[in-house]
Amino acid sequence: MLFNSFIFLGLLAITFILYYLPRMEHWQVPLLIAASLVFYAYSNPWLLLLLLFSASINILASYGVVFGKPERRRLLATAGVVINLLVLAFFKYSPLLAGAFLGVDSSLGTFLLQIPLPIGISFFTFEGISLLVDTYQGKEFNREALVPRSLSRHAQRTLLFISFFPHLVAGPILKAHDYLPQIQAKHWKQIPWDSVFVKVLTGYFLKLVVADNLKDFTFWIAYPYFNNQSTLTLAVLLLGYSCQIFADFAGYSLIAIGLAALFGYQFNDNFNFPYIAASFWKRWHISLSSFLMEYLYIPLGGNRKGKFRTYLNLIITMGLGGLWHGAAWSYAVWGLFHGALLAIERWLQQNTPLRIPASFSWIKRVWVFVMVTLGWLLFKLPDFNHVIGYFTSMLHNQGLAHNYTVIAYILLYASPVFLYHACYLLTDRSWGERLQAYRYWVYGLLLFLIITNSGSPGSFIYFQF
Amino acid sequence: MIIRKTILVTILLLLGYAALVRYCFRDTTVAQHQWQGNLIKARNYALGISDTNRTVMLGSSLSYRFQPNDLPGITNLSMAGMGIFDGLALVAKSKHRPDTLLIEMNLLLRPPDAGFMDLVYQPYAFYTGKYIPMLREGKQPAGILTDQLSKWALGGKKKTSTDAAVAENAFQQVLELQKQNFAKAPATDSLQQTLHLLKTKLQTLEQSGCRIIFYEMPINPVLMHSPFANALREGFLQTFPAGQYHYIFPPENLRFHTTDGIHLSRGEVLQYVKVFRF
Repeated sequence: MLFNSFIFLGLLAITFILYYLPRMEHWQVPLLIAASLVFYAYSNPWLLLLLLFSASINILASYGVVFGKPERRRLLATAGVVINLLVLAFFKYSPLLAGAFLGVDSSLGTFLLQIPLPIGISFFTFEGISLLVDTYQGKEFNREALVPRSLSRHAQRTLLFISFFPHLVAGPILKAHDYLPQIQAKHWKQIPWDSVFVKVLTGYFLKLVVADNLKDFTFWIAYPYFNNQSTLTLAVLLLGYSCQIFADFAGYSLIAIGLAALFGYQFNDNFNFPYIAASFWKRWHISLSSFLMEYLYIPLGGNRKGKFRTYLNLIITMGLGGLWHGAAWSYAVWGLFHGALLAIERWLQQNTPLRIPASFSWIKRVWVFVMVTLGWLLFKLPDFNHVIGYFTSMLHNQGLAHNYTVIAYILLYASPVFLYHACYLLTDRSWGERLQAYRYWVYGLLLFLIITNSGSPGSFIYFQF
Repeated sequence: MIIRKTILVTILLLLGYAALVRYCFRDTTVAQHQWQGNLIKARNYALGISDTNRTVMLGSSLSYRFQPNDLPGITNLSMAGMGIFDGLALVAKSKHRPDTLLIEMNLLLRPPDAGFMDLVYQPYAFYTGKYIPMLREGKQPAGILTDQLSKWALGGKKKTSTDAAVAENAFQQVLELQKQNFAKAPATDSLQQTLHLLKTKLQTLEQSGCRIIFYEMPINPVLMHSPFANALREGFLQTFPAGQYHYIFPPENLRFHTTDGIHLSRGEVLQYVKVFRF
């Protein structure tokens, strides 16, 4: 079920009304679980079996970690994490591995290539791992306080944590120590209406007006259409895709955060104006990058084992992070590309006296944006040969006529992304603060454009991950 | 508080835009991209607000390049990125039944777009579009704004300059790919099934008195007699014999370079409409 479908709005309205009915306090958690399962099963009910299987493993393993024999804690946590990863590997990476090592001729290879990718599996698997690691380490909280003695209550809480519909299929990736403490009775009066409204409105605007319109122009990035586009058109197409993927995913995240707040749950920000960042990964898909940092980079040794290991850990973490996005080598290359950039940046910081003055920090921001934008091509064109072909066309097609229609529309639809970032830069100016008093004009315009200028419906890009 | 003010501003903007569309852009329709062009065509046809000519053309992006004024008296339901089965579904569901159907032969094997008809008849967009013109796809503010700005900036003239050598190089790359696509005849089973499906769908229309005319869009000469194109042509002639059906084939004496092997340039379209007779 998509956030931008009418059926979802119906489910949301019914759930919301029932949720805050008087004397529903004890039924709020079961109600949210039921709504979430309907949300997930809507397009393919069989997927529920996998979700429930994954949740069961995590419920039992985490319960065992907290209340089982202390000497078995490590074993249980490890087994749980391994099962989670095996499930993910089977459903997500079997086709990739079969294609690489078995080929389509063998019956096993054919079988593995046909395994469908269950929606949201990458997200709920990571959340399960977070629960196991958090309960095993017990760093962030008191284990017993978060995992109740009653197994059925623990099961209910964990199922809600994993399946809560705003984050179920495309994140943000929740961490157990952030979410579980929030499970308690919620009241109508606690709803932060203005914040919910602004987040949901901005999210839907980014998705329906910016991303959905841009997608019908960035379509031309596909092979073989790029072959006869001019250099400028190709560059603008890439810029458009960069804005599209931001609007699509940041829009989804804002809607998710707003909807969660509607039911009394607070999610951390998933995007923090990444396209003006000097450190992209601290501001883009923050829930994933912080997950990788906490559960992969630091356990690998982080920066504690010397310079070389630090660079290697960065590259490994980003390479696996890239592969998390999809079962194609281009995603791994994309991750390695980012890992290599991070390693080079760190090397430069540690080994050269060059320091960019604060007044010229925009140079680094522009550099980061350009690199990130070039990297998105690996997302759009999974075949590496086509990526090379695209860059070759960019080099050779300088003499072709520009496609001004495409260029004009892309710049028009991408402009809200740049204005969105510009607003952030203006917030610390005094006149910028004064303008805040009139922001309802901007929100009014956003709502007007949602009604009159939405693009053709498209699924969210991150659903495929 | 912010919610109430926002809604008030939105209502003001909607009222202002409704007046603008009503008094300034009543006859303006802008398709920002091909997909939107498909949707505008299809929804206008379904709503009965487009030209309801008795002759309807069904095709793919090859025939999409005919603009409304190129073929007077013909409603062009050719869809870019789609095929004749999408247009046929639209005609079958519409109350408006044509007297003559022009059916493009080139991309017969393209399957129908699964979600397109649902999108055309999606209740919210369908009924708001029917009763509130400013909510139609072709009246989107971004389209109207860009259209007006481009008219103002270019004064109706499109400036294009192309390095012929670079253009030819890019063209040859795409043509090479098309040659590969056209080098092999389609699987016989698949072709026969599709032709049979087409025949079944057309029978209902023929029974209600509709005349069927098949036509082939010109493509680059190196592809015109390729195994793929020949097999398709033969399949049509076997399933729909020439004695019973009318065919339009591109004149052999005219050669079309095309933009990518299969799509005519604007100049070529204008050249071809002069000989497109039935």
